[in-house]
Amino acid sequence: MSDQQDIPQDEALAAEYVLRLLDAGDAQAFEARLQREPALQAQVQFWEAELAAMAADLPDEHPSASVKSAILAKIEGTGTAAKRGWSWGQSWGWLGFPGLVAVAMAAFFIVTPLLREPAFEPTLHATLISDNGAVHIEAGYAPDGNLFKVIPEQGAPAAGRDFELWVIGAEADAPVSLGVIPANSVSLFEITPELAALIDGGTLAVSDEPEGGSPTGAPTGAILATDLFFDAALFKPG
Amino acid sequence: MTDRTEIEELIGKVSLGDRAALAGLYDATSGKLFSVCLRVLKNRSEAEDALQDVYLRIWAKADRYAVTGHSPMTWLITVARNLSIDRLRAKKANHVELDAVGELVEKRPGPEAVSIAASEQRRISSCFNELPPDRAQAVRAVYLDGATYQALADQFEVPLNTMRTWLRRSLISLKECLAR
Repeated sequence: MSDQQDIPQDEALAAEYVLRLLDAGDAQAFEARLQREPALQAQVQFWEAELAAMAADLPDEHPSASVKSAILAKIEGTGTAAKRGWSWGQSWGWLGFPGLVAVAMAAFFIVTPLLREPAFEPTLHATLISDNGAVHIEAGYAPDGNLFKVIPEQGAPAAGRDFELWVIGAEADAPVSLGVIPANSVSLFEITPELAALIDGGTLAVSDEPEGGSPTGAPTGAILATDLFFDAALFKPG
Repeated sequence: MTDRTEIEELIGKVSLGDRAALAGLYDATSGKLFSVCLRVLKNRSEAEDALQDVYLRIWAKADRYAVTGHSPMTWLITVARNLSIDRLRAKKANHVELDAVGELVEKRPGPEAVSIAASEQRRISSCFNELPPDRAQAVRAVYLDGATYQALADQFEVPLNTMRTWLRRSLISLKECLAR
């Protein structure tokens, strides 16, 4: 009898993933599945929460005071709108996905010019990148004509599913749908003034929904990524 | 001690770009998060660099906190642990100083170390007690010290595949216990 036979494979795999025991190939394959399988996402969440409780056993340690001042100095001059300026290029992976930094840098340099075509002058911009980097969508809003542009850079919904965009206003609790977006072509559309009013200071989100969009008017599937809208002018050269 | 609601509020403000809130969050949580970084990296200066990464990452990604479905300390600890492990792995491929582990394992939490719901902590501690001690130690070494299968196999002097089966079994036992 094989020693492996009676071990529930997905449960063990999710734990190994959280513990960072998988090699790069296995971790990537797991992330691809994670995107599509809510049951697996629940397993990962379970392990992250349970294992983090172990850290409660660690006695607090006090870093030198220079760490706090260095952090505050680095965020000086950044705010909601400018968070992107400082960190890309360091060797960080978001929750341990090193590919993301490269993706984000590429997005910054390639996509920003696209959003500045003459006919479309965005003032606000949002970058949606899922935790594992599999889904990447750029979006821009131009007040002139209330135009909204969506550029799907990477990732596609599973068969029978669609990506739906949502705006959550700064003061609002509930997301408002911007509609289902095509996953393989750039879309440019006009939005209502009511929706436009939510964008400044608001958050953009993308969720995985049944084909044709959420049947309820609220996200029903996994929220794949969110981003605060930020000032597009911050990234114009000069 | 800053409680869960206060930390959640601070994260909410940080997601809106409130620098004072990040300073407040740092004051409330850096002791715990530094202990996580230090445990993984075993070097104060590197752990301080990692801690800086952690709070800058929190600054950039606080708006994502709500969708993780985690308690605030779980989220913060997960960020701290993963960024520290990134550094550790970048630094020295698969080598983990397990010798440095033993003395830390038995330390009890200090008076400030109670940011995680005590019930959650007791639950995982009692489940660890149901595992054979060497296996509990192996799981701790992986999470807290970033040990790899290879490092564990070397330490316990068993073949890599045996180590893997061993650890996977321990994890499933843990899960069964936690689910009770």
